[in-house]
Amino acid sequence: MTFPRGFKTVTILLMLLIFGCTNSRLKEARNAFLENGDPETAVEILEKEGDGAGLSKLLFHMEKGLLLHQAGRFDESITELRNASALMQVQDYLSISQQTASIVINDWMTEYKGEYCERLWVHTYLMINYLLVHHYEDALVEAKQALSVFNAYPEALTQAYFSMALIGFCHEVMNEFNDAYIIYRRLAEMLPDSSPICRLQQKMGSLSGIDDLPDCDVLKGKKDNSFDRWEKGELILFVGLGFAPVKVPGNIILPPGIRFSFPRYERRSSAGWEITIDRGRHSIPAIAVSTDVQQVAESSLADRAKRIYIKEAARVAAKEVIIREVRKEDEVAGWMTRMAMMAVEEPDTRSWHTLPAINSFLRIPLAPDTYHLTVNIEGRDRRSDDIVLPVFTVKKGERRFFAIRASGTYVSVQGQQEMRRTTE
Amino acid sequence: MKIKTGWNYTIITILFSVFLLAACTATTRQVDPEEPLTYDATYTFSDKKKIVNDLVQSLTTNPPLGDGTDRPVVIVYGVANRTSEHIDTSGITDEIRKEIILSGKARFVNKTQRENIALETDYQLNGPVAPETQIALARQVGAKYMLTGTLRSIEKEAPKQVRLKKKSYIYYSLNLELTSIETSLIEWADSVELVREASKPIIGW
Repeated sequence: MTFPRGFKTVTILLMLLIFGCTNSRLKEARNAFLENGDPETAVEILEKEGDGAGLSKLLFHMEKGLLLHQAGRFDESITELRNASALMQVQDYLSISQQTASIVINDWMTEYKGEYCERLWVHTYLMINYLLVHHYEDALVEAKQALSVFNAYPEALTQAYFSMALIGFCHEVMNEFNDAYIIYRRLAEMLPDSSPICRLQQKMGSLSGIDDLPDCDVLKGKKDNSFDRWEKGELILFVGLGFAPVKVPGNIILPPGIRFSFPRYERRSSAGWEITIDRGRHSIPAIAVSTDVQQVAESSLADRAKRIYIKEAARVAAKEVIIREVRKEDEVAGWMTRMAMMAVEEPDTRSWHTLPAINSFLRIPLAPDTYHLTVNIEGRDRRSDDIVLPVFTVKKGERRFFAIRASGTYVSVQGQQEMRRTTE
Repeated sequence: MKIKTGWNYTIITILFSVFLLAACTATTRQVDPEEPLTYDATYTFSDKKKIVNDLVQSLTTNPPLGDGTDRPVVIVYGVANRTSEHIDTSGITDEIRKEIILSGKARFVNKTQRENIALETDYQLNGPVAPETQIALARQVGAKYMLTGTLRSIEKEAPKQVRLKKKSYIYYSLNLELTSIETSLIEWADSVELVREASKPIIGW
């Protein structure tokens, strides 16, 4: 018994459609965190996957790395995110076989390489993890790698303020004041309002022996020792709020059954949160730099938009040629092929789901003392949450770090790990 | 003579399968640590060997270690990594320390074992250790010199243009110095430089 060629074509395409779908374990793990607020269970689910996830391996490492971070397992998170970083280097080429398959089927046939902003977040979370485990030198290495991503995609990442502030901080922690000054100056140019970091820029500039420094209005005529490490300590907060946007398909259908599809971001959490630090009834001033992940994600996707649309047009044209060839033999098979081609014309909507919607970096100079502090987060809808920090003591010149995540009903506060007595 | 088409396809399939299997066979081989091996432009164990050899040569033939026979005591405070790669620089200092000890030009204080030494001392003096076998307190030797350094890198990538390969250069430099703990004078300093070029195809299978 022989089958018409069209039938074979449709069968193969349907098999590829099934093959091209998102890994189900990844979905299950995401739901465990996003809906149930349980990063530990999410990690367990992903650990059953082993080192798999096929063409979405990078996404697997990213998600697992962040879930481990949320669970306070910073060393394991570092391992996973470094796997992601290494994979990004390996993937830095164009695969002919994958591109050919993607022209005939869809972009799910290619390895996921991450949006430009996602590549930056990998290094960003590595910086945070290394700071939380006292590996300041390694944090600086990640800062330099993050800076390379900025330099590679400057247009896409102009609003990634949080990461740039963190890069400057990593230089500052290692007493590389001149480099920190250069980064803060670059950040000042990026920010719509550079006043939050003016003091930092001034401080780093004066420590580097630079004369021509910005004139911060707040400091006119006053000596500001807020960031004088020899007088005060400092509280550093990494605050993640809400849920990052996800990619959804956008479609344009034209007669006689031509489907153009493209990915776009859909916001899941609103922006415009305000964070204040309270000690009893008093607010403590802080320097805060925040990134709206939605805006940066959209910017990254927009930077690739031209290439996405050109490829989409090429794919539609290639599919039309196949459909016409099949129709020449068998009209019914031709229509079945067209239906199958439309069904597989799915845009690549893979993205990093467990990221927060907003990332904020807060620096709070504190006099040496013991502190009971509350972090108050107020949204645009006037709903506010109070997150109580663990009691901590700050000495002169000391920095204390906390990572906070508040997304839906999930709230976690992770402190810097106890300094292990190192052998060096 | 007509060769049946079916046989042609069979022969081609068999030959293709044989080549594929041969190409996919896993192999292992022993590699000489002295053999320079580089797959890309980043830091490798071959770089460590060159760095160690050059710096040990300089340290042991120049003052103050190269001068006399008194074997001064040195403490290693590590090499700071200022590159954009995660490099364990303790591997470099461990190797330098080993070579200098073997050369007989200096002695080293074991900074990394201080805590364990304190634990062991405490055990001996307060535990079930026979008094005649206990160590004496306050007999550790003070270091005269401190060995420190910095590993830096500069990376350059070829600009974006129409090309089939992506070229990059990485320049490494390791600066090492020996500082007198008493006077804080730098008694010896030297550096080693490495430059590597790597090219990676932009298109692959």
